[in-house]
Amino acid sequence: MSDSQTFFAASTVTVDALMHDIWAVWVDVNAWKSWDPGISSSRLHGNFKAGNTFTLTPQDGPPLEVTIKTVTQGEEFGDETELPFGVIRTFHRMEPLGERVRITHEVAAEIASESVAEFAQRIWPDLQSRLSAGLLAIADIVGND
Amino acid sequence: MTTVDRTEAEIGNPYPNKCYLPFILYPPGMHRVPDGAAWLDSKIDLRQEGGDFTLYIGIPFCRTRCKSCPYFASLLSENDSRGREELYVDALIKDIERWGRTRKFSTGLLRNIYIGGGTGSILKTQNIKRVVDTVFEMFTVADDYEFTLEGNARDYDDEKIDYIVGSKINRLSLGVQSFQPELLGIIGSPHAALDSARVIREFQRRGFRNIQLDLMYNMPGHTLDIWRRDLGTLADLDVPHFTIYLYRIHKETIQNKLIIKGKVERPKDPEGPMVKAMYREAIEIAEQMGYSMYMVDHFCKPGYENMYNHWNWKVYVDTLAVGPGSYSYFDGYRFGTETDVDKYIEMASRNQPLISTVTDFLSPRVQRERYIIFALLYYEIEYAFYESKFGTSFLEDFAEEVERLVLKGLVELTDDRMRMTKLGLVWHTNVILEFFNPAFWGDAESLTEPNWSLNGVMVEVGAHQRSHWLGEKDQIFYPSVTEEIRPEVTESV
Repeated sequence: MSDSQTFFAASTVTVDALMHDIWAVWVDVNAWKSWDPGISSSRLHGNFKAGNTFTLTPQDGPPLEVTIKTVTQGEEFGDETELPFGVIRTFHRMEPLGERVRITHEVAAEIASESVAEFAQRIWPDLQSRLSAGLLAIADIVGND
Repeated sequence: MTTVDRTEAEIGNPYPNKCYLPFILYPPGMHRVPDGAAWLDSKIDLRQEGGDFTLYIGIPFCRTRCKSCPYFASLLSENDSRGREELYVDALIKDIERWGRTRKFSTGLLRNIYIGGGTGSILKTQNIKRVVDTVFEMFTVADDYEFTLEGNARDYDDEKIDYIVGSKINRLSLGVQSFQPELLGIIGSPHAALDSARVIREFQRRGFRNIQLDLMYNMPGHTLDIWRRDLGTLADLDVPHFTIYLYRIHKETIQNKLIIKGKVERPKDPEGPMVKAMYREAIEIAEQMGYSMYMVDHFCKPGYENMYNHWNWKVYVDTLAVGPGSYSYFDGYRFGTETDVDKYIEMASRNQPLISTVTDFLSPRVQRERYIIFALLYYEIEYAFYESKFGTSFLEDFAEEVERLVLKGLVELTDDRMRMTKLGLVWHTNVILEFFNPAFWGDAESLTEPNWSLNGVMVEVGAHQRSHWLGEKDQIFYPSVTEEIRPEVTESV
């Protein structure tokens, strides 16, 4: 995309949890709506592995086809959604921090210039708020705190 | 012949609480040993002539941890940037070679080999081949050996299937759980719903038939209709062996948390009508399809029994187990290798065994109990075989236990064997617990020792007093159980 603008947001939480528990919640794509308030439904096609896709239906929009781009089991995964006005990538990773685990969710949107204003006003605020809300919900599920 | 075959409705319950164990380990109580190599040197004579034995090879890796899995597993990434798989297989081979150089195992006859885990099939094809080749280089393998590779359909591509079909592996075990995608997601299985059928058919197309698959029932959201669909798919696939397992919510698992948080539906009451119907229909359908339930929850067509279980539990030979999280049994001891993969690799590189927990020497009585407990997975004790094994009479050694079981209508005695009745099968685990050594009841101390996989569940059972599961010795029947108590199920935190 030659003429575009990038939006980026990240949210981090540190939690007393087992990394394989966090991973189990992440890879159960069909249940993402249980922790991501912006999702109406999601359906994984095949295994959770790079190259495979899932259909994600936001609360306020039509179904989207999302491609899993990177997977490092037990550590991180990233996915990508191509839209008429740009590309949205999300990245989820975790790392041990002493006895705890630091979980990070990131979203990066590469938006065509002509759509930037509308995206910034109508979509981006919701994506940002979902990021932290989803992370806190995961922490609540997996955490021993 | 003594036969008492009555129903629960007629007589009440034979025990105050029903125990359900998916897997038996005995004796359960083990204790930490600081120097495993020194313990081995002092307790086991590895220079002795070997006999029949089985070999268990543990692969500690999974792609994801199933949400209510009680077993130990380390997540292995497909990109494996740190080369953990290679490091582990190098260590495993060194460990197998070290055991194989001992007189006991170099002169013994290896009857059966089982690669489990974790996920045995997760290894790259070249690494499975290295392990298989090492086994046949280091041990004398019986002509009628069986070699099972356990694992998950997700791991099989054409290269791996082709290798296995042409290799010395002659049996496959697949953790299918269900053929329905909605259930696989809920329980967190790593494979997709279509993977299992695809892989089974690919093996069958190449002429490889000896395949076992494991199904689960009463998963969250499971219904009788879904279960019937799974049994229908099973019939279509025409595999010669399958098992059914009651899905359980184990403590300290993410599934337990998800249920408590209301994110996942709690499984139905295992004693309720739906779950009982699931079990009953599985048996009925299996029989209609030509399977027999030759041991508890294990079904096969003639000639396809699981021979690994047969050698370990029915013939009762030594078990050599290698890899983190595994338990061996020989020369009157159970001993275990802890779950720390890095430590295992380090010890193997120093040509040292990693032995972390051990039992005391099993007295002749406990060794007999252990045999009975496992043999009863096949419903019966043959008097002559018992006597050939131990040199004494089963009915004399366990007169008190047998008398009690007969009075409760749980076993029947024929001229040559003791056999469980239908009521005995319903209370199968409790019947087994009758043969627990009195010294092992109320053993709360073992709860604080290192336990992994299902040994912890066994220790929890033994931490109770005998009367909790079996009641008082002079009381025959109890009021119907109104509240099910299972050691591995937690209802709250």
